[in-house]
Amino acid sequence: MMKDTLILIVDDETPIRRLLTIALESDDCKAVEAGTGKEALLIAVARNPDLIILDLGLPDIDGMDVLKQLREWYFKPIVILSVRNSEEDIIRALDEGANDYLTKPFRTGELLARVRAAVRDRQTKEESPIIDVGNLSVDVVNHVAKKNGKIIKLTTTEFSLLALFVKNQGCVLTHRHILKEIWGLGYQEQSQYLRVYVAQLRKKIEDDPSRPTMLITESGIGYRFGI
Amino acid sequence: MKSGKWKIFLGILPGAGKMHAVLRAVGIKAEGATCVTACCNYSETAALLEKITVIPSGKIEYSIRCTRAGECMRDAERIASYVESKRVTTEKEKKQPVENSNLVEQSGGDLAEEYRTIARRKSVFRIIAEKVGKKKTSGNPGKSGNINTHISGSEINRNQKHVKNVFRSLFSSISGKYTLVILAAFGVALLTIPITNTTGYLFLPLVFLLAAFVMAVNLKVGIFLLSGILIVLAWIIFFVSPRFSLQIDTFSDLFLFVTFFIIALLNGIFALRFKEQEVRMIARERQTNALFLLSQKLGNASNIDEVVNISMENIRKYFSDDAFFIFMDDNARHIEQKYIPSEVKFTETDMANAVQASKTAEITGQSSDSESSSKYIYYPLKGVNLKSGMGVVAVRRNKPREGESAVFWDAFLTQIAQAVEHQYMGQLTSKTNLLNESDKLYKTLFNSISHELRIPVASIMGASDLLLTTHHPERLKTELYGEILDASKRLNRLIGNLLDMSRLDAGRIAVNADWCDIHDLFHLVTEELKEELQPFKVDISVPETIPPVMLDFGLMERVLYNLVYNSTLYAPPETTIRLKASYDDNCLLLQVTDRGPGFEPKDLPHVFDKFWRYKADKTGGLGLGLSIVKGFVEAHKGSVIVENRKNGGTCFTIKIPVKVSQGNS
Repeated sequence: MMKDTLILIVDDETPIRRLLTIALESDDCKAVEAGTGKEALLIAVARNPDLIILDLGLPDIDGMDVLKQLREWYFKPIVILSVRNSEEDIIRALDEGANDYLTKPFRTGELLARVRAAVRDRQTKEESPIIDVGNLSVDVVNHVAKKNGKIIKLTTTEFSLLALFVKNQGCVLTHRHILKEIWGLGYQEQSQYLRVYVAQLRKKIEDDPSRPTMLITESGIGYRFGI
Repeated sequence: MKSGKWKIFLGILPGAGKMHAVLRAVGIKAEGATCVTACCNYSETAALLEKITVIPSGKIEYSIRCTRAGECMRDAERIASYVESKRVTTEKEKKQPVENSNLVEQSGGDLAEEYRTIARRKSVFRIIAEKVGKKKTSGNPGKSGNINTHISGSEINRNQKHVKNVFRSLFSSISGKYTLVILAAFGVALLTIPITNTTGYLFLPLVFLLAAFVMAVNLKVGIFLLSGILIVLAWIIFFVSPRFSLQIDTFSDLFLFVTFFIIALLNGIFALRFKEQEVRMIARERQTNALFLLSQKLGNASNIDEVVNISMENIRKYFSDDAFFIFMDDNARHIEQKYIPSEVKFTETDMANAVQASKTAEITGQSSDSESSSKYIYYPLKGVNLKSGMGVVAVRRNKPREGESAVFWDAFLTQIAQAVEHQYMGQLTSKTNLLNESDKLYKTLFNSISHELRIPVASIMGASDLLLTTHHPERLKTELYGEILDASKRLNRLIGNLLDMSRLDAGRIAVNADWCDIHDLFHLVTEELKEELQPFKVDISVPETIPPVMLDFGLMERVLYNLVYNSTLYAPPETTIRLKASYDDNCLLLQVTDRGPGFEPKDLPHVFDKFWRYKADKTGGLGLGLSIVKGFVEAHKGSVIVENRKNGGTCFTIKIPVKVSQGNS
């Protein structure tokens, strides 16, 4: 990770904050901590961190409101930290503009990977039209996808889907978000289309479609591409 | 007071000839809940009954023996019996009750009232008394509040009953009766003609009187009058000289004729009265019988539905009325359950009346009330302890009952109300039992949680402590870190299961069904359990053509996770754990099979029970996993079964009715 990346940790639990700080600092990041929503908003304004890790359960302001207030001016990545049984909250947070989520308890390795992906995502955006992920190479401008150098045949929808995934690699995309992006506003509840297309896409890009390694399912929430 | 138990307070007044039969009936009647009361020892009884006269009577010894037998057989609780008789064995015994009764009278008490007070205080279910002297049962025992007082009539000779039956069959039809009367009158005349030739006719009136009396006993007024006139005519025609005419020659014959006629009439009137009394007695006996039959049936009823059915049936049988039952909730404000056939019209006003009756414990809907349009009369059900609010019987009638039939109806209703109360008490008891059960569950949960939580915490503490205090080679360190991670995962799983269980228990499982790809589901579960599945061969079998299905992905993931995780715990390494999906008739079948030890056949019905654990379980856990599986599958309106496989191992099969995507698959 780039040196001097400043990360704001918002969590009311001191042990969690301490653990996160240790983990991030071991990965050459700088970390600042906030225990309340108010504090978080203040520090965010004062220090303008490169990424915010936000817990949804805060003592003073609801995490969701903190997110909304941040998103009024803050366009850098926000990663949500949440307890497992709040799938709806996660989806809502992602819809509100969060870039990724993590459930507690989490594994530090995974957290760091997500943080890295989110920061990189921001840095690589707007670069070349050809995006490489593993053995896959996607030319977003010319609508060409190659696997191991070989062109793979994709329908228009499949390609749009793949392009959406590679552009947001490492980040979770909710079902509704994908449906809206690919099929348009009227199709947000038609998730069976998405299932079918994801299955088809997996057959074409994955080595073993029944054990996907690139197009990962996020249970009850959506999909994530590569990491 | 013990709820749900019937207590019968037995009082016996002098002349209790038939009482033993009654008692035997009562003793055998109320299955499992009878309390027949009897007491021989007069001083003991006296102590129980306080200041009421009690004298043991030899005559009712048999009754007492019967009730005692019932007492032993039914495990009944004895309260007391009230025994009073003119025959007293010893002087001492004689003196004591007299003193007692004097005391009652001196203190201005009423014997019957005292008797009822005691009964009420002891929550007595029924008072049985044999009514003989009016004096002893002063006051109307029928009005003993909520206690079912039953007073049976005097004995009826069985032989007489038999004779009566023979006659009844003879005189069964009206026209037959008239014919018979005419035939009898002339038959007697014709039969006696040959005799009169030798003996003279003066003894004949006696024969005719006898015939008239026999007929009067069994016939109605009209027929009886006809028979009297016919017999007199026959006498005049056949025997009074001049024979074969209506003329009477001598003054003595005329005198004889008049007195004969008067005697025949009087005879008939007495016979009629006798008959009426008998009819009343029979009716009384029938009522008694009906009440006993009712109480027997109600006693055998195992739930409120049966009580209602029996009551409705009996009301129709004995009163020819349609009766409907309406029960209130615990606060007696709202209708909880009604037993009204759908074809019966029951308006809002009717309901309001019913609620009113139940609330105030007063009869409503009588024509004297303002709601004269009401088709029903509402009788509140009043129990021994619950005076109001239990429910209402709506009877389709315009006028309330009167006289004897009203008394009978009251007794009937009291029986029903008490049976209802009995059921209510029973429900209350079972509720309490349920509470106890949940208390037990809570304790089990608490014990196992504290145990299950401590173990991983102990390993985390132990391992981290070691890592902090001493220097270890790298290999050992890695092992210790692994320990910590494993223990944390175990803790996490435990908490997950507890949360799932509490969601299930609170009924807060909402199935958020969305289109799911079964490949995805299986893959995710095996990915999550990657490390646990390391020593096994994993075989995933999903038909290529399976369409997306409507499921709650998160819940089904937990279901499969629990099943596969269980397999990894029990199956020996190197064996195959198989996940199979198939689709058939709008039903999704998911199977998880392993080559583990399988379940004991006797355990198979219990594996989904909460806190059930595999025998000699070395793996820990709360025994919640499979009950969560069952709960989540049932939330999908599906079912899960477990079987032992032929060559060892278990097979869990989940069957869920699902919608499939007909889309472009």
